[in-house]
Amino acid sequence: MAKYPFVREAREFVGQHFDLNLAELPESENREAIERGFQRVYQAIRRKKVPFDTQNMIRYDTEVVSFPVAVMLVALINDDMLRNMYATAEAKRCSELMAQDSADIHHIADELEFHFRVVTREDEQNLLTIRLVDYLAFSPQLWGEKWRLANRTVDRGEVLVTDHEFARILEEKIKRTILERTRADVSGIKLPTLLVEKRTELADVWREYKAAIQPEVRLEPRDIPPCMNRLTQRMTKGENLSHVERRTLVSYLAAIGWTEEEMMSLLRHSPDFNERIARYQLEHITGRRGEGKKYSPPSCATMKMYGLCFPDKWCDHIRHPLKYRRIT
Amino acid sequence: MKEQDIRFLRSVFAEYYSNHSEAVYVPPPVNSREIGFAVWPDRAMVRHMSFRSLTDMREYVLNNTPADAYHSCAVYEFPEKPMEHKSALWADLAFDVDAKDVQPDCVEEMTYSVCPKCGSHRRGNKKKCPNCSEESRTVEFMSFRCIASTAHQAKRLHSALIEELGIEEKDIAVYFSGHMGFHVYVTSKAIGELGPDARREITSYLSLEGAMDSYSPGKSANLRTIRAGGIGRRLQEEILDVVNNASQHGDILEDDGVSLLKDNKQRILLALNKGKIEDIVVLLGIKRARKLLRRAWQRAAIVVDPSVTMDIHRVFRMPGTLNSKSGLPKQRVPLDKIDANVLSLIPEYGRSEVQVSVSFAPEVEIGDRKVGPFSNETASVPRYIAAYLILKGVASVG
Repeated sequence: MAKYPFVREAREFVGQHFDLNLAELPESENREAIERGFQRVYQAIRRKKVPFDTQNMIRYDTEVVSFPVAVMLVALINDDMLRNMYATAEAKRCSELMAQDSADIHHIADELEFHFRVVTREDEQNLLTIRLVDYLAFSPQLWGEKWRLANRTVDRGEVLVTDHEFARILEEKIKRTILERTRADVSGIKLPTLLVEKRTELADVWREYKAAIQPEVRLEPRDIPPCMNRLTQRMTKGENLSHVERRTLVSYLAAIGWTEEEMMSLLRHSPDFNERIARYQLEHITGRRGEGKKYSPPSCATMKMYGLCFPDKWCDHIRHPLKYRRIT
Repeated sequence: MKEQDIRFLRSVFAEYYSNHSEAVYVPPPVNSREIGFAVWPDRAMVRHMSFRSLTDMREYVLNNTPADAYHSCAVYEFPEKPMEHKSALWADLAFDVDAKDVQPDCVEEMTYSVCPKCGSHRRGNKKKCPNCSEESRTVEFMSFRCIASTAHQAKRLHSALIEELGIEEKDIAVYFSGHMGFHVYVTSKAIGELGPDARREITSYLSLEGAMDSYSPGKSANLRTIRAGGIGRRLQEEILDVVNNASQHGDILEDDGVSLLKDNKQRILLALNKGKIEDIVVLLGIKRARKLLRRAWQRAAIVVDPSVTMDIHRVFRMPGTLNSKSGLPKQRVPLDKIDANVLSLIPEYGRSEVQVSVSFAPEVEIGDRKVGPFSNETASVPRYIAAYLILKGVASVG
């Protein structure tokens, strides 16, 4: 339960011990929980990861209680980018834990009321089916070729997945569940002193982090095709783009003349941003690294294949996103 | 368009609505949908309207005889507000199956460049008339052949929605658009809450866009999937169809390939039942097997217009109203009637005859009447056919 603090059991447990809405946090007893809650968010910002070790399991109560504290802190800061960053980090942590112990997967799915059915077949093991609507709702961020619906076995509204794939889908579901929690309206809740202090501290950390990102991203909306526009917008909202999506966007922006620094400031919005890796990838795409080979942005046909094509009427006669022009 | 022609069209439309206004329909909840009309004489669009009930809307259509009528697929909190304030609650999953996407060559064949002055006509899109150097008009005439292949796609879409996507038959409605296409609606809450990305993924799935080449021989040939549901089953059916009608596929298989297919039919069917593409390769050789699969693959795609399905704010033609491209109604079609004969289902209106002068038109077959071809002549035709010719811009009353 301490491993997956968002599950129903944890909610009930926390409910019995204290209720955040009552703002009656017994400081002395829960100082540790508040500190750990702060650390969850702090590490999500600094390391893009919520650390977990076996010691956390020993401090069982603290660990479980620290989750609603962290959610509360994120809700107080009230910034979508931080929400995304924190939810992504927590979900990643859960997914790593699930990978270590696959017995957890079914349990977690049940707790999240995520419908699935185990398929028994003589030739294959560890297959399950999930509902098509759930597949469509919780797999989009993971789309690479193999995630495309066209490459799936779809039968009577059910989609076949391996248990490893199922864990990744659950990761997305967990992320959205946490995101939703952090959107709770917490204005007007009376907070204990220690939590107020931690909120101030976190706000400073966050302000400093955001200062490194240029708030305005240069974008001429007129002649940016809808596919690229969509990627840019998702990026600025702090959504986690897949590798293919990032490569596509960066190669496009480089082609229309963005500088490396401009692109870096856009990439800084990603919830799992890492300066060193991002710069490395950027230099690779723009040809400054590796064999000097530039990646050119994908054609419309390739965009379609990736499932990244969202055409409008100006797309009718073009074959390449770079050819997009709004003619009025 | 001449004033007397517009007057004539309005009278035909009025006749239709006065007898068939009960056919005018918007899926529930009517009061939460955006309604739009194109109005005579210039067919300007009026949007962002809403009606309290179906009865109110029918009365409006009857009293105003619009050139076209539309409803939103989306259900809004505030349907009459501007787009950014409407606030969509959910939307029908809607598909547009149109001849221009299904069989572009067929539509092209029916596209003429007609001179409004001398009636000279040529296939395709040309700007000037060679005889009188008048500006020509590009006209897309309706064709049975194009409707037939489009109907076939609509039928396949209907069955894929049920068998693959798991949608209940009661939640699906198929309409003939009144021109050269079919509109397929899925009205169900669970599906209705899907966003544009998910809708886009559904159309990609149906048209096999982005599918890996994994079904072709030599590749990892995903043997388990061909036996299971979905695309595998669709592909299997198409392979079967090609094998059963081998002689129709001489263009890719050549004579020896066709006879090889015929001789090995039973063995191929057996291999298919086992889901073993590799066995087919052994029987036919890799080259022919590839050709066979590629053909089956092309035929397994279901062609829909992705931009229509994806856009939840789109308005669709209102069922039971006349289409100003043809003067024919958009009509619900029962499953067993989805074929080229949809035109014979149109209800009674505009049957009395009228004199029209026609510059050019190929043979027209709508309802129980077959008329034409016409070339620079005056003819007596039923009023609904006259409306069709006038709307195509090739005729005038009197």
